[in-house]
Order: sequence, then C-alpha cells, then structure tokens
Amino acid sequence: MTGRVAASFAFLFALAQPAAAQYAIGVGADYLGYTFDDGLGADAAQLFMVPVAVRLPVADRLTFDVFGAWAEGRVEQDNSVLKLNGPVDASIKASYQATPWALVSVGVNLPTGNSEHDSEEALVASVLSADLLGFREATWGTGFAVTSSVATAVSAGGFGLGVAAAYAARSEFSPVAGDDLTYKPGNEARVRVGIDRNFGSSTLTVGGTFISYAQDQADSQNLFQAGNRIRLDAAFAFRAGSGVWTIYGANLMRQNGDLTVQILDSGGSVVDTGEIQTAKQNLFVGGLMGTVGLGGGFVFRPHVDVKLQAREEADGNEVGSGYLIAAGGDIPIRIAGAELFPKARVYFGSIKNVAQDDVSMLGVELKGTLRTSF
Amino acid sequence: MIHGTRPFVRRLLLPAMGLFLAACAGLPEVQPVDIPRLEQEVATSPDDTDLQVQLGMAQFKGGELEAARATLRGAVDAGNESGAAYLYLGLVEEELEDWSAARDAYNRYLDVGESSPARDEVRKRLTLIGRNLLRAQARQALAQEQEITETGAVAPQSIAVLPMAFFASDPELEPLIYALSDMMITDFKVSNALVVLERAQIQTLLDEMQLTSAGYAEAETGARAGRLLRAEHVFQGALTSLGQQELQTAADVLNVQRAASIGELTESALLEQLFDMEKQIVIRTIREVLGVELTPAEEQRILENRMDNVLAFLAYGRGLRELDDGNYEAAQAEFDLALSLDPGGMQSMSIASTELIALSDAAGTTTTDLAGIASATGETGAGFFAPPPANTTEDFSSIGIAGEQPVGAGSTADDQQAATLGGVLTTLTSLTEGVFPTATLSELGVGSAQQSQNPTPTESQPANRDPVQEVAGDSGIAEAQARIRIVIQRPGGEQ
Repeated sequence: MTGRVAASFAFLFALAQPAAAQYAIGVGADYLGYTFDDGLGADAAQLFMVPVAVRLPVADRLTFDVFGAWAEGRVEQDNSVLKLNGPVDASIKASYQATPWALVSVGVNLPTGNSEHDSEEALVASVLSADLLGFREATWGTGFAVTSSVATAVSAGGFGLGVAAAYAARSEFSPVAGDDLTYKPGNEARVRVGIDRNFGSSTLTVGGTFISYAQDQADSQNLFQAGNRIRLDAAFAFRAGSGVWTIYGANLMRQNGDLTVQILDSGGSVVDTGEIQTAKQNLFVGGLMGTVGLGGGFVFRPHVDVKLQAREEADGNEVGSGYLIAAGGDIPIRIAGAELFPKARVYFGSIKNVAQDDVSMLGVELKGTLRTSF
Repeated sequence: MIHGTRPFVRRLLLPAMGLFLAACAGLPEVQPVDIPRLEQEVATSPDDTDLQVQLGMAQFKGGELEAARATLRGAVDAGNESGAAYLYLGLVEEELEDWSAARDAYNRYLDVGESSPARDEVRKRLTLIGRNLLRAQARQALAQEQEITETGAVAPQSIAVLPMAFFASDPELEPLIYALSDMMITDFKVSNALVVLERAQIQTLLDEMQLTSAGYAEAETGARAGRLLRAEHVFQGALTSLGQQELQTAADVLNVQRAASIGELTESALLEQLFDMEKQIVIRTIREVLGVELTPAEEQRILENRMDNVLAFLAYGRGLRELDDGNYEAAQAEFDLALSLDPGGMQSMSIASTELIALSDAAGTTTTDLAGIASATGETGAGFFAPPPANTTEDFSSIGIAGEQPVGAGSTADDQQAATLGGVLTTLTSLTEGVFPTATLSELGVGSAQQSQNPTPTESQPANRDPVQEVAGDSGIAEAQARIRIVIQRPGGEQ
C-alpha cells in the first residue's frame, strides 16, 4: 500500500513538472505520389508539402503547439496537370494539465489556407481527399474553427482508464472561387473511451471513439448531415532487443450521410426538397513499426501497414473500395544537435472505379523532417 | 532502530536456545577437543562423509582453517549434501576471505539448509560478502590492469554510470552526486536493452582507485574505470551550481574501447527541478547517445522514479555515502530522515535500505555467532524445532547483491506496481489525441519520444473530415469530382 501511495506521489510530481519542457521546432519536406492504371478519374496524384511545427511549453503544465504549412497538390488527367497550391490553414493548440488526472485542450483553426477553389483546384482536392490514399492535406482551408477537449483518467487495478470529449465549433467559409456560396461545416462532437495497461516494458492501448456532426449548411440552408463515425483502435508497444516495436490496428466506420437537395422550378425557385443518401464506409488500418540496429549508432525504423477500405453507395455500388499496402521506413540521423528523419516508403494497391473494376495503383512517399529542441 | 539491537538480543538468546535444544538430533555438535578422535574415525571409515563434516566443524572451531577447508571440500566433493557441510564450508571460506567460494557455499546452503534462522542470517551475510567480493574484484582488476587493458574485452551494451564530480560552492549539496548516481542507474536499468553495472560495484572500484569526487569527471578516469569494469560505455559528468538555486549537469558518454566521447549532454535546472534535469539527461543519453529506444512504459517508469522532496533526496545521498564508507548506523539515520521527509521514497531507496539492514546485521554477527545459530536451531547438533522446508525459489534481487540482480525492468514488486500505476499520463494523452489530434505530431513526434507520449501511432488516428468532398460524394479518385452544388430541376417545371 505504501509503495502504491509513494508511486502516486511520484506520479503527481511527474505530471506537475513535465520532463519534456523544451521548445521544439520541426520542419519537413513531404512528398507522396501515386500513379493509377487506366480506368480512374485521374492518371496520377501527388502532394508536396512543407510543414512547420513549433512546440512551446510556456509554463510547467501549459504547452502550445503551432502548425502551418505550404502545400501543392497535383493531379494528372488526360495529359494535363491540374494544381492546387498555397498555404494551408494554420492551427494553434493549447494543452493544459489542469490536474494530474485531467488534460484540457483548446485550439483554433485559423483560415490562413487557400480554401476557395476553382474547378481545377476542386478536382485536385477531390482526388486528394480519398481516405484510402492517405494524403495529409486535401482541403487547404475549412474556415475558422474552435475546438476544445477535456480528458480525464484514473488508474485502477493496474489499468489506465479514461474518457475524453471534444467539441469543434466551425464557422462558414467560401469554398468556390468566383462564387459567393458560403459553406458552414457542421459542428463536431467526439467522445472517446480508452484503456491501457503496461505489461513490464510493454504497453497495450485500446480505445473507441464516437464522432457525431451537426448539419452542414450552404448559404445558411441545411445541406448535408454527415454520418456518425465510430473508431475502434488498439496498439501494443513492446521491446525487442534494443528496439521498440509497435503493432497497431484501427477501424473507422462511417455511416451514410444525408444530402438535402432542393428541387427548383424553371425559374430557379425552390419548390421542394429531397434527400440523397451518401456512401457508408469502413476503413481498416493495421501496421507494424519498429527499430532495427544498423551499427555505428544508426537504426532503421521499418514501418509496414495495410489499409482496407470498403465503401457502399445507397444503390450498392462499391466505387472507391480498395486496399493499399505500404512498406518502408526512416533512419534518424543526428546533425549538430538537431535530428533529421529521412523516410521512404512504397505503396501498392487497387481501388474500384465507377464500373466496379479494380484499378491498380503504385505510390512512393519521400519525407524528410528536421527537428531540433532547445 | 530495532535491528541495531539484534546482535545483542541474539547473544542473550543463543545460549538459552542451545541449552534447551541440546539433546536433539542432527550431526552431533563437536568441539576442538574431538579432533583427534574424529581424525581416527575418519581414517577408520574414510567413506563416511558425515564424519568428515564433523571433523571439519571441529577444525573450524579450533581455528584450523586450512585443514577445515580441505576436510569440508573433501566431504562435499565426496557427495555430502548436508546443510552443515555447506554452512561450515561457507564459514571457513569467509574466514579465509575467499569471498567467491564463500558465496558459492552459502548459496548452496540456502538450497539444502534446514534451519530457517540460519538461512536468514546467511542471506544477510551474502550481502556483506557481495560487498567484500566487489572490493576483492576491484583490487584484482587494478592488479591486472595492464592485462585487462591489453585484452580490451567489454560486455556489449553495458554502461557504467560514474558518480558525477561536484563543483559547487555549497558543500551541503555534494551528497546529491551519490543520490543522482543511484537514481540514474535505476533509470538506465529500466531499459533491459542495456546492461547497467551496479552502483556498489562502481563505487567500490573508484574507492580502490583512491579517487576524490573531483576526479570522477576526468575522461582518463572514466576510460580507466570503464576498462577495469569491462563496460562498453561509461557515463560520467559534473554537477555544477549556477548561483544559489540553479544546477547544471554536463555529462559525457565514453566508448571505452575507442577511448573517445560518443556524446555530450548539458542540462540545467532550478534545484527544485533537479529530477526533471536528471530524467532529461538519462532519456536523452539512452536515445540520442546509446541509440536505444524506450517503450512508453519504460519512459513512464523513468519519469516516475523520483522523490517528492529534494531535502529527502539529499539525506538519501548522505546515507549512500555513509553506506559506502561502512558507517551503517549513520547511513540508517540518514535513510530514516529521508523517509520521514518523503514517506514514499523511491524504489532504489527501499532496496538500499534493505541492503543496509542486511549489512548492518551481518557486520554485527561473527562466523562463530552464525555457527551458534545453526547449532541452536537444529542445523547441527540439537535441532528441536521442525525447520520449514528450504525455500529454493528465493533469489538475491531483493537484497541487492551485485552481480546477482537481474538487469532490467520488472524485477521487483515495486517495479510491477510502478509499471502499472503510471498509466494515467499515457491514457490522457492517447485520449486527447483521439478526440483532438495535434497537428504538430508528424513533425515533432517523429522520434521515439512520440511513441512514449502517445503510443497510438499517428497513422491510426482519425483524419479530420473533409466536409466539401464528403458532400460531393467523395469517391474522390474513382470519379474525380469537383463540384459541390447540386441542382435538380424538375422535368417540365412549373410556370
């Protein structure tokens, strides 16, 4: 009992005085590109991104994370190259360790990105938004938003048990260049229940998240009710030799959405409304990442994962379903007090087109991140 | 403390117990006067190893140590597996200062001995013998330094954490270097990818090298100590005060074979943030210098290994210094003070405290006392009590014998408790990332620190919804859609 109390005190102290109280800056150059066989709406898709991230521990228990990036997306289609580029939305997140058992976060999404797209840019955004492809940026801008979250956890019987909730309030933005259409994404609520336990040097983490959205509005009219999401995930981190390996899996289920359509007369007046159901989707991600010593103080950190996406339109069409396997890794290198993480991965998989045919695709990811702390 | 009175109480009780139990079974008690008779009986019955053991016992009591050693070794080699044989062989070897042989004999006695009180005493004795063995090994290493240097053999992935040199105006803070060294060793041991040498082993060698603490930070000292300890790496550094309240740690990690630094680290912090500074140094050394990653559980255990009170930590450091100097009562007083200031203490403090009690008791008990306990409790001679079966599952990890402790994590109940209790920070971080992902993680969390802060890989975190594309049906690449405005005009229309 005494030991438990002692460990509790130690833990409280640890939380009150985070050890990682260092400023950190990270700059990256990321490239992810795919080529597709015939039969899809594009021949190739690429994203080049330069992210900048800063972490500022301004007080013992208060940390700010600031993020901004410039990105260019490209889609090759019928021997033409369509582009969407510019800054993306910046974000600031403040995390406060309110008590040893509660973590509160507040963040804003600043509308610094290029959210107004012309038809070519919109097509690029459309291609890059496919969940299966895993492009890090597809919107460039979604308007101002404020997100707050609170998480609380207890230790019981050797387990860490907790619950967290977040709410994001979003404001309207203009998504179409040369058009006054305003679009307001529905506010978003997330609730997560998580459990974890250490087994010696290993950690098992299991969780479930429920995500719900309010109606999206276009020009202040209800337009779209996004389907609820349920995400189940598990990760197991363990030691093997001098390396740490993590095996993980996550499954994100997305229910159908309801799109409200207006029925107009020839004069453009609304005479009725109707609803169209959008596709439901299930995306599974499973992977393994770890460390292999190369000698001379260098390590290779392999990372292999597989994505399986199943989509089903209201009419049973499975367009967009497919799989993607990725393999590669990075080699951390220390350079004069900074760390460089060059990473390369190759991708292959397939995706169903409108005709329900499987279309193959190949991809490559090249990434370099430079990080320093002071 | 109660344990301080134990030898006195034992001396009072032993004769009474001996008288009370005098008529019971076991190998008969013998005295030096029996030696001629026993020698004659052994000559008559050379295959009776029990007679050889009795002869050895009598020779030990008569101070004929070399003869006793030969007789008892002969009995054991001939197959005598009695507790008395191994106990007396241990006593003889101890008197002859063959610490390694004494340790082996006592360890064997723990397996076969039948007297629970005697086995308890032997366990404590093994702690003392462990210290003596370290000293003997250190002396031997120094004597063979030339040969060891030429061989250059090291244990792979091993590290020796030297106490830091102390450069500060306030001498009251000097004990911090002992406590910090102890804490660092505990922290390094969390990663079982490393072989971390015991603090007692290192301190014993440094004492034999007759170094002052100022010399601990010298590269030559580190390289030499590393060679003698056969460590692949040596961690050494200096603790310097910057003004009244701030401390700085400058650490250097040497590769012993190359005799070159492979990494230097500097951290500074206010005195009350001393533990944060130590954690930073240790975690950065493991990751950045030694290239060993930490699991989230391991990092959490390192971060949790701390005390609530710096004054308690100072008292603990003074206690360790007294312990190293063999001043057990003074060490106990400092440990008691540390415990009163910080009742929780930390894991290594309870281990050191247990070791201290064992050392203190063992130092107050002679080999003759131990022979008396064995006699009074049935191991030899009388044996009235039915002794409990020998507990062969016990090991020495709980009493801190150098070289016997399993290296790495999870070796004690406290380890297990610490490992399971500290899951809240991981849980909180994981939960928050699940509902409100941090955009900077991809850039700032690309190292193993990311895994420790949030064990759920970024790849499995939920992506933010893309509202425009989802409205448009978001089959994305399959259809390459671009518009979101959907207008359906009723056929024919109304006028």
